[in-house]
This record gives sequence, structure tokens and C-alpha cells, in this order.
Amino acid sequence: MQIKGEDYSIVFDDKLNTVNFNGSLRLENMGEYNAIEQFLLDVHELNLPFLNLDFKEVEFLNSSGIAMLCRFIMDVKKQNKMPVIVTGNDDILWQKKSFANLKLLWDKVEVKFGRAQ
Amino acid sequence: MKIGDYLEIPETKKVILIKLTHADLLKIWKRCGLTANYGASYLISSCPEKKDVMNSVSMILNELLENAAKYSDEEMGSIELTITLSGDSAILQVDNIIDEQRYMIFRKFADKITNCEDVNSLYIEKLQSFGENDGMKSGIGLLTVLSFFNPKMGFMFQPLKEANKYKVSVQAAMPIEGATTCR
Repeated sequence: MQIKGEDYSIVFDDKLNTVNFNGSLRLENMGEYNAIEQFLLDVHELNLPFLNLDFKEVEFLNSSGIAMLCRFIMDVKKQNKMPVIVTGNDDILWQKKSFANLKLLWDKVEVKFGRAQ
Repeated sequence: MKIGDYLEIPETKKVILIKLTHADLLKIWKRCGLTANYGASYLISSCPEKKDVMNSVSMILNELLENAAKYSDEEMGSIELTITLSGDSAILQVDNIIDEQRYMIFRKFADKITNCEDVNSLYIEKLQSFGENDGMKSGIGLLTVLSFFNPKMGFMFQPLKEANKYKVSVQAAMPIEGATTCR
């Protein structure tokens, strides 16, 4: 399962239960993010032991994209089906700020940080 | 009318001035990001050891440009991006023209965020509202900038001679530690 845009790719690795985000996501509005949100919801529909969203290779996500990610987290919080891990890049300030907020939206989100390869 | 920490920038102090139109940005949306990356790279090229702030500068510029592209007046769509180094701060500014309706909304919003003691709570409240509301425009760009990067924000609203049109200048002053030593 994957979605590719001009400047980004989003690929689900079913061996690691991880959605790998890559590139720069600066789409025009939340409507344009609907396809990505639906992709994440489709992955979440699979009966996984956990879901990891890995943003280490993402340079930019605009405010509409951050809002989409928050909406997804609030949606899966309601379902409470599996633990969600968000892996960020320790070198990128917006990721540190943004992913700390995800924990405020749902305290069961686990936030980890690493570095891009 | 000035709101918040708006600074007058002398022409001679400007590091970069880019003129765009909202129609061109709306036609090819990625031009917002391209321009933000260019502005950030251009600025940071004078202080290469500050490369780690390039990503944050580009994030801020992109949000300012996206707002200008989305909310500019249909007939008067000129947009200006200005970057200035002042002391230890980079002043990132985007000017555009808005109509009366947008002016009323935006002036109120500028007042609210510059007088707000806890922007993070305001931001989280707004994020939570997306769970219940599927609006196409998130309207969250400036709150994101304030919450993540905590720049000093300033706004200037100037009525134009054309009826019901206003020029709005939005400034975000981003501290860059040691910027005074930049070339």
C-alpha cells in the first residue's frame, strides 16, 4: 500500500507495521489531505498489533497537514483499537513541537525520535 | 493601524524582496513552498553555521505565503515577501491586499493572538475542533507558527484608496542566535 505525490511518498511496510512518510507535504488545504487521511484509516483498519507513523524522512508538513494528522489521531482515539507510535526526526523543531501536541490529544500515543538516514 | 510588535523596515535593510501574485501561487501551489525554501536558503547562506534554523524559517515563510495566496483580494492579488536581518532576529514579512470582509475577520484574529497569554492552549483547542468539523480551510497557519516557533508577531493594516481594500503586512521576527556575526 502506498501513495505518491510529486514531492512525497507514503508507504506502508506490513512487516514492520510502519507507515513511512518521505519528502515534503505542503498540500493546499485539508480537503487535499483527505486521500492521505483515508490511506491512514485504511491501514488502521488492518488488524495490527500496533501502528507506527514514521516521519524521520519528512522535511516539511504544512499546518493543514499537521491538522490532518491531529484529526486522524482523534479519530483512532475514538476507536482505541491499537497502540499508535509516532516517530519523529530529532533534528527538526516543528516535529518535536507538533508530535508533543499529539500526546495532548491522546495520551496513549507514543512519541519517539530518531535521525534521518 | 499596527497590532503587536510591528517594526518599520527601512528599504536599505531588506535582505530580499520578492514580488508575486496570488493567482500564480494558486495556479501552482508548490510555488509557496519553493519561494519559502528559496527565501530561507538565501537568508541562511550568509550564516552557514545556522543551517539548522533554515527548516524553521522555511516553515514560517510558507505559512505566511499560503495565507496570502488563500485570502488575497480577487482583483488586487499582488504579494510581497520581505526578509530583513535586524540584530539577532530575522524579520519575515508578507504583504498582501484583502477585502473589507477579510479585514474585519483578520484584524480581530490579529488582536486575539497578539493579546493571548496562552497561544498553545488556543492552538490545541483549534486542533480539537477539527475532530468535529471537516472544514476545507483549516485557518490554523498563524497559530501553528506562534505555537511552534514563538516569534514576535506584528501586523499592519492600511486602507487603500480603492474602496473596501486594505493592505495587510504580517511580520514574524524569528530570533537567530548569533545572527549579528553573520556576513
